[in-house]
Order: sequence, then structure tokens, then C-alpha cells
Amino acid sequence: MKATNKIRRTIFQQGLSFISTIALALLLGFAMLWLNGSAPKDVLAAAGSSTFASPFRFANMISRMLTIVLVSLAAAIPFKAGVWNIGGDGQLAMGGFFSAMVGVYVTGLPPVLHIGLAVLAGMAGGALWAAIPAYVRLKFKANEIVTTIMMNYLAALVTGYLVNYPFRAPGSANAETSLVQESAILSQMVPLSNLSTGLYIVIATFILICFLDWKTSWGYEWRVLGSNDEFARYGGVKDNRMRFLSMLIGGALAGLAGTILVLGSYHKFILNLGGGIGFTGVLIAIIAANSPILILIVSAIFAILSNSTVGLEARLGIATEFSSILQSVIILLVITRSNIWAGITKLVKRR
Amino acid sequence: MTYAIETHQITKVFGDTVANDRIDLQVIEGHIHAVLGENGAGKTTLMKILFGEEQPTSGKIQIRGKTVKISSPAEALRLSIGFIHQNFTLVNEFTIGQNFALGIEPRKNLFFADYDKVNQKVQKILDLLDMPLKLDVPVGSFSVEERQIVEIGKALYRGAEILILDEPTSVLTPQKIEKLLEILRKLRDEGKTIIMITHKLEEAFSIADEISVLRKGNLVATLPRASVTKDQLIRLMVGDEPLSVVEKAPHQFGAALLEVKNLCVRSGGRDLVKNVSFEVHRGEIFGLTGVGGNGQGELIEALVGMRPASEGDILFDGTSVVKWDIRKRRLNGMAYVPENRVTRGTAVSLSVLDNLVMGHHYLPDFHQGLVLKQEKMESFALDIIKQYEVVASSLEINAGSLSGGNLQKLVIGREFSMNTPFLIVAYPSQGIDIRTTKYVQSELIRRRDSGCAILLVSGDLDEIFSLSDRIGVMYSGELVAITTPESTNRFELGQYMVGSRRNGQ
Amino acid sequence: MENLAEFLRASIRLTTPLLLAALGGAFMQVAGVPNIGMEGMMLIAALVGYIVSFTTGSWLMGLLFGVLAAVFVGLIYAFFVLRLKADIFAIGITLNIFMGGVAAYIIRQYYDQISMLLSPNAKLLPTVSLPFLAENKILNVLFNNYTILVPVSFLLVLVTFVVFYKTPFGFWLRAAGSNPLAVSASGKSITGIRFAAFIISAALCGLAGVHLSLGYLGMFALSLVAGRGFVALAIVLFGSGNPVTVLIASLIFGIADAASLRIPTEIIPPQFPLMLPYIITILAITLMSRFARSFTSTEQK
Repeated sequence: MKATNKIRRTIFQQGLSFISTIALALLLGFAMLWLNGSAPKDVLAAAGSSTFASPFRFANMISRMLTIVLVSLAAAIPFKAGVWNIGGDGQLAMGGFFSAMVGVYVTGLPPVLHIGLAVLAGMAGGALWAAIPAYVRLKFKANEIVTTIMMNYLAALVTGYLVNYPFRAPGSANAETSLVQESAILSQMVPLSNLSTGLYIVIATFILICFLDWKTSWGYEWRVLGSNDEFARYGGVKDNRMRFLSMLIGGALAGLAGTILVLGSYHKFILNLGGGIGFTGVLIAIIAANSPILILIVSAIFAILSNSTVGLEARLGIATEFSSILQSVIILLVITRSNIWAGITKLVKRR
Repeated sequence: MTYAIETHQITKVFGDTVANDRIDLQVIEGHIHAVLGENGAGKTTLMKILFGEEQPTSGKIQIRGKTVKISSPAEALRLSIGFIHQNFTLVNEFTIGQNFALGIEPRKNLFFADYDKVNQKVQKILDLLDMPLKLDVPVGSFSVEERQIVEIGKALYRGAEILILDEPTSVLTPQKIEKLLEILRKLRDEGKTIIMITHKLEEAFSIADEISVLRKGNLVATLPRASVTKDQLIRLMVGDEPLSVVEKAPHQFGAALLEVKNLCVRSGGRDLVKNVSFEVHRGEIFGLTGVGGNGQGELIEALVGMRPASEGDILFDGTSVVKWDIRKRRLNGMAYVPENRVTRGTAVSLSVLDNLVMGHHYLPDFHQGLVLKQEKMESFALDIIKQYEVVASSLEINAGSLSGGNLQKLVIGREFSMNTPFLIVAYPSQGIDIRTTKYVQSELIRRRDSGCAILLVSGDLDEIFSLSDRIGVMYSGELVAITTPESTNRFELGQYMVGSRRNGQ
Repeated sequence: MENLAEFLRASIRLTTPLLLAALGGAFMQVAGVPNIGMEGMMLIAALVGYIVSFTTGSWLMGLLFGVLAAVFVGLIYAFFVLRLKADIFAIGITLNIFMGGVAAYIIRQYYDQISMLLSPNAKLLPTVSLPFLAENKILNVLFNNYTILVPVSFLLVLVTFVVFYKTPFGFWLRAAGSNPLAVSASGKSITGIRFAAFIISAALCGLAGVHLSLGYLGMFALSLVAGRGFVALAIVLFGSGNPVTVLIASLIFGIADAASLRIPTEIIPPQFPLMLPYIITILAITLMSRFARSFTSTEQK
């Protein structure tokens, strides 16, 4: 089936209940703010301005969206195959660090090669960090929710050590590496914004993931594994291998997110690179039912939400953390939307 | 003579199927009443109604002359009816007393229960059952037969006067069966009424006072054991009509494609498949039958690769495949239509296309490296839908929205279209309309004529009889007979199926 | 000798929040519904407890409201899982993030703080001082002058043990987790039993959270819980909810925690000992899953 048809079909099939639930959650958000004293009109204006008022702001929103998309995919691909990957934060950090190492210490390469190598290193770092929980899950049935979360803390500590001691930028008071070489920098697309040419890398990766998902046997087998693993086994799918693979790819995607932040936005590795975005990715994967297209849409919504809170705060004095509350409400509603709507229709029918 | 239980015209309909058809069962108080029947005869449904797990579509129930409504298992317990499930309702970490008293613990004070009181009662029951079991150990440490007795004891503790047991001997080794039957006799002598569902003729015969036979949802007869012979019962169970035969050419056996040698499958300490040996030749339909749960499922799983064989060998065209994984077996020419189309044969939350493509997607025709040949797969899927007349509005809809029959056609279409030299087909006509059944059956014949080796597993004797070139019967994990349609009849097959007879007797 | 006693004292103090949360987790675990949301419950209890304490000047009020806040989260959790039949892992993780957001929002919106809350008016939990212990130097260090939740947590181990193995309610709980068929056959409601488990579990996590902010630190920070909720989950999974195993495992983590704070940073960088609890958790989960019970792994049933 052609890609455009596939996109259309995805949106349509999931469409109604999904969109209406998000709309409901957003309405709830407006209601909450209204109760707090801010009229919806003002809220909308404030939110809109912080994203659309200038190219700079829009670029920042897109930049944020890129990170969100990648970490959401990082959770979604394993999830498709029935494996929980909550380790996005740790994989992002390791990926960022690996790419920083290549960016800082490898010299004499033309930009294309340097960036390419750094990207590969970053993806490898993320994949490695995901491989450990994947392995203990497959060999020992160890609960991967716990192990991936533990790996997050370990990543923070390991990179914390590395960046405070052996690899600290000489003469710097902060925990960070030296700046990466010129040849490894992804140039800014909009002046002074966070958005870099990493955009192209992410677009390419997204297309690749869509391709894997829709058109390859991998995507097919993951889909079946996640839906009915007995059926998958019956049909001859090598379940353990595919699950492991899905985790590796998830880790690589999160590692890529870290790489882009390092090479494109910060130009060095700093602590708390992702700022906890990994968990958001998990939740987006859940509500988008692991579909790349829906992930794209929801990531956009969440990125705009995050951005809006800056404007909401500046103009209306609403704390920026409100966005994570709203995000959580959206998620709770969407997760249970089938039950909620079933309950509502039952109520209506009884009348 | 009072009746402990009387049912009047009990009928239970599930969608299109009539599981129980106007059943008038009469169970005399203080007697042991065996309910015999093949799979699908309606025994379990009837018992579920008596225990409150199902509600009858129509009809009424009387307990000791009083009309009652058994709305739930709790209600059944209040009416002194106890049900011994095949899956025990015991908590393995608890002692006998803790299990018996779960939910109805006598209180010593606000926080604690009086287990001394409980254990006194437990000891009395254990003495009655003549089972010297320790009161202070977790029941998980007991053997299966001991736990079954505990399950019975639990019903007694909670005041059951009527005990219903569902295939109680299916989990027991032959040695332990006699002990259970003894206990049941003892309980009867104490005045309890016992209803036992079984398909094993010997046991029913050795223990029952009365025997009822169910067949295809109908109560065919209720007879005192003293006045009936085993052969009569078999005839009642399987019917008397001559078995229908489908037109097929007398065939030539080819070489043996599948050889099973001394196959054993063990799990959890039990022998599920015992020393089974047989062959399926090219151009032959080998029909394996038997009452469900006698090892057929496990045998198929071992052949396919979904379950490891404990002992023995499986040869495919002379090569031992017993260590191969599922994909390798499939790639080397095996396809499998499973018994359970929903849990194993499909993924109901995926699209029709996704379901049709399984097993084909790694065949050379359908992929180029990693990439699936989308158009080829779609046209292939459309072909299957057309050929097997699967009613589906498009390839994109959820497989779960298809009716049961259509789902089965989907599975059959997918597996048949692999055109493998060896085919395992389990219970193919379950839930399909007559027309499709005829089509499927003629397809099976066609493949057989073109040289396929087919292992057909079914409980439908008509189907087995008419399609098979040779017939095998499984009972209790063993292949107790290999015969041909020409040299046997329904009655004899029935004998094999209930353990009344084996090859060579 | 004194140093050892000091060290053990620190370990015990650090064990308490883990122990309380893990005991709470145990209640839900044995009933067959693993508590994934302990992290969020602890966080919100810590925050609410702290705020109420410095607002009212009463530690008791703080404790009460902290626990209530956690119980409120437990109610939401129970509603989504038991009533709406949502996936327990997904809702749990969502609630953790939700509470993170709520906490961050509250301190930003109402107190103008970014990541922590510090007030001189906060009344900490009282300490228990026994005169006869004060006489012996060693005993004094080891057992005296803890804030109330520390001895309470150890007491609760005993209580939990008695409840699980000696009361009818405990039997119902364990039956619900071990063989739900047994419960429905007995006429009791599985949902009702599990609901009670949710509430008790949340309350205990509430105590753990309150201890974190009002126990010794006297402040609240968004990074206060630092994954302890998930370490507690690992502890619970490790012993399948057996209170004794929970106690032992919590002590091990408490000791590791204390050790990590004591190793001089000149010799070993501070990050390394801090890694200890997490590595131990991974190892523990890996090893114990060899004897896997049905809800330690996320594989489909």
C-alpha cells in the first residue's frame, strides 16, 4: 500500500476516539486554567505567541519536537514487540556522551565523515545501554521496567563521573566536556535557536523507521509479537531475537537524540542532557499506540504545549510545569479512552 | 426415592449452537451418577449450569423437589452443591485448613481466626476420606491426587451434599484412580450425592449407580448401571448411524513422509504423550481421533515444534527434525491449521492482511532481503480471500471483526496455500457452515490426491471416517489403535476412544 | 567501634523510607497487583507533608496530609486499574510522571521555587528518646534518638508479617495473588480485596514520603525520591512480598546508601558508591527472576 494511503488510513482508523480524547483533555486544561483565573482567549493567545510569533520560537519548538519524536520512537519500537523500554534517558545520555567523545577527540576528518562517525558512535552508545536490560530480560526474564530505569540512574552516575573527572573540559568549573570540533558541529538553521541541521538526520531516521515498520519483515514480526506472541511463535517468528533487536534499535534512537543535542544544540556534553524527556517518550508511545505517524502528531502537540508554557508564564503567570500536568492528564484519558467511551455509551444507552 | 437434582427441559444456547437441548436429568439422592459423552456432547455446559457458572436459556432446576435458581457459584454452595474443577481452586502456599476456611474463617476476635476450630473439622473430614494428610504443611507440597482429595474435602467442609466432579481422573495416574473411586464410594455411603462427568467407560462402569449419556446436546438415556452393558453405552455415546463417506478415489500410498518414533512428551511430572509411533505417507490422510485432552494437542505441538519432545524422534523425509525450530520445520514443508484459531491461529487485533501473511513472509517469493513485497502479498491475500470465500470487506479490517467461521476459513486458506508436502489440520470444521466444510474437505482430498501427506486431527467421527485413509485413536496419551475405515465402524472406534479396547485385543 | 555504630545508625535511617515503601508495595504485590506508582506516591506525600507542616506548624498535620495525598493517588490508581481495567504498568508510570509534574507545578506556582522548598517553619517529625538507652554509649548511638517513623517502620515489618500470615485478611490478600480462582470460589470479591491493598500500599508509601522530607532533611526537593520507589519495587519483587525478605533487602540497600556517603571523595569519586544500589537492584532482579513468579516479568500470560 502506498505510503500516503497508509498515512491517511492510520489517521482515520485511530482518528476519532483519539483526537476527541485529546480534545477533551485540552478542554479540561482550559477549564483548569479558567478556574485559576485565566480566560481561555488569553490562554490561547499566550500559547500561540510562544510558538508562532517568530521564526526563532518556532525553530525552538521544532528542535524540541525532534528530541521528543526520537525518544518516543525509542520506547515505541520495543513496545511494539512487547518489551518495555523506560531507559530512554539513560540511552540518550550514553549516546550523547559517545558522540561527544568522537566529536571532541577525533581530528582530521571532513565534516561529513566526522558527523557521520559521531552519529554512529552515539547510536552505538544508546544501543549498548539498551542491550544490557534486553539481555537479562531474555535470558533471565528479568523485569525490564525495573532494569531500564536502574540503567537511567547508572547512566547519570557514569557520565557524571566521566564528565567531572577524566573528560572535564580543562579549565571549566562546570561538569561538561570540551567543545566538539568545528567539523562535528551541526550548524544552526535559524540563528540563535536550538534547531540545527540535525533536523535532516531526524527526518531521514523517521522515514527509515516508518519504512522498517511498514515495509519490512522486522516491522511485521514486531507487530505480531506485540499482538499475540503465541501466534508469532506458531508462525515461525524467532521471538527472542526480534525482541532483542527491537531494544537495540530503541536504544540507538535514544542515543541519536542525545547525539543531536550534543552536536547541534550544545556542542558539548553536559549533565542532564535530556532533562527527563525519556519518560515523556514512553507515555507518548503508549498513547500513540506505537504508530510513528501518531507519534509525530502527539510529539508536535507536546512540543507546542511545552513551548506554550513559557508564554503562559510570561503573560499569565502560570507555572511552566503545568504542561507536564496537562500531558499526564492527556495520557491518562487516552490510555483508558476505550473504556471511558464504552462507559459513556452505556450510560447514554440506558437512558 | 428422592431426587437430589432434577432438571426439566434445560436448554442452553450459545449463539447458533445448542449446547444443551431440553435435558431432563434425574439424579437420585445418595447415588453416584455418571454422565458420559464425547467432547461437545454438552456435559460440561450442563454441569456449569448446575453450579451456577452458566444460566440456562430455558428450563428449570429442582433440588430435592424445590424449584431453585442457581445464579452463581456462591448460590450453588448455599444449596449444598459443590463443584470440583479440573483446575483446583486451592492456594498452594496455604495449609488444608487455611484453604478450606478461606472467606468463612471462624473468628477468635476482631483480628484473628480460630484455626484450631477449623483444623478439628478438617481432621474429621480427612478421617472420613481416609486420607492421612498433615494439617500444617502447604498443600503445594502434596501430590496431585492428594490435592484433588483436598479439593473434595473443601467442598465437604463448606457443606456440600451434592458433589459434581468434572473429569476427575484426567489428572491422575492409573494407580491413583482406584483410590479416588474408593473415596467417592465412601462418600456415597455417607449419604452424599455424586455426579461425575467422564468419558472413560471403565470408571463410569465401575463406580456409578446410574449412567446418563449425552450426545450432541441431548440426553440420550439414563440407565441403572446394573441393567446396561458397556457396548450398549458405547452405542449410545457414538450413535448407530453408518458413517458417511466422501467420494474419494482409492489411493496409492507414497513413501512415508512423516515418521514418528516412540515419541514421548512429559510435562510437570505427567506423561502427556506416551510412546507414540506412526507414519503418514505421501498421498494419504491419516485421521487421528480420540476424546479431546488425551494427548492429541501435545502430540501436534511436538510435531510442529511448539513443544519439546522428551523422548523419541520425528523424521521428515528421512531427516530427523526433532531438534529443529518452528521456522525451519515450516520452511522444509510443513503447515499447520491449529485447533484454536483465536489464541494461536490468528492475532485478532491485527488486520486481515497481517494475519494472512504469517508464515509466508519469509518465503523467498515474498521478500527481498528485509523488504516485504507489499503488492505481491496483497494480491496473494486477495486470492486467498476469494478462493476460500472469506467474508471480509477489506484487507485492512481487524481480523477480530470476522465471524468465527470466516476466521477459520482465513486460517485454512493461509496454511493450505503454502502448498506444503505435509499438512497438519486440527479440528478444521469446528464452527464452520456446511458449505465451507464441504469445500475444506474436498480441498483436503484434492491435496491428498496430488501427493500431500495430511495428518487430520478431529473428534468428529463422521469427518474422520469419511476423509481418512487410515485412522488412529488416542486414549490417555497412547495411540491405542491404528485401523482403516474399511475395517472398523463407529462402535469400535468408540470402544477405542473410551479405553475399552486396544489394538490387538 | 563507635564509628561502626555511627555507620549502622546512618544505614538504619536510610533504610526507613525504602522499608516503608517496600512494605506498602508488598501488600499490593501479594494480592497480584504490583505497585508501579510508588515513586509518585512518595513524592507527593513528601511535598504535601512538608507544605502542611510549615503552614500549620504541626508535624502531625503534615504526616496526616502527606499520607492522605498518597492515598488519593492510590485511589486514582485503583480506579484506573480495577474499574477501567487499564494496564497497571502504564498507569503506574503515568502517575509517577504526573506527580512529578504536579510537584514541580506547585512549588513553582505557589512558592516561586524551581526545584526545592525550604522553610524554617517546617516542623520535623519528633524523635524518640529513651533515657535508659542513653546510659550506654553504643546502644545510644544504635537505637536512641531516631525520628518516630524509623522504629515505626521496623514495627510495621512485624505487623505486616502478622497480617499476611496470621489474619484472615492476609489470607484473602495472598489468595488473590496466588490463585484468584480460589478467592472467587470462596465468595469474596477479588476487586474489593485488591482495592484495600491499593489503599494500604498508598498509605505506607505516604509514610515513606513524609519521612523523606520531614524525617531528617527538613526540606523538599524534586529529586528527593531519586528512584527509591523503583528500588522499593525491586525489593518487593525480589522476595515476592515476604516481609522478612523485604526487611533484609531494605537493610542491604540502606547500608549501601550509607556506605556511598562515607567513602571519602579523594579516594573514590562519589558517583561510584552511589551506583551500588542500582547495580545491586539489577543483579537482584536478574537472579531472582530465575525463580520467576508470574508478575515479575512483563511477558504476556
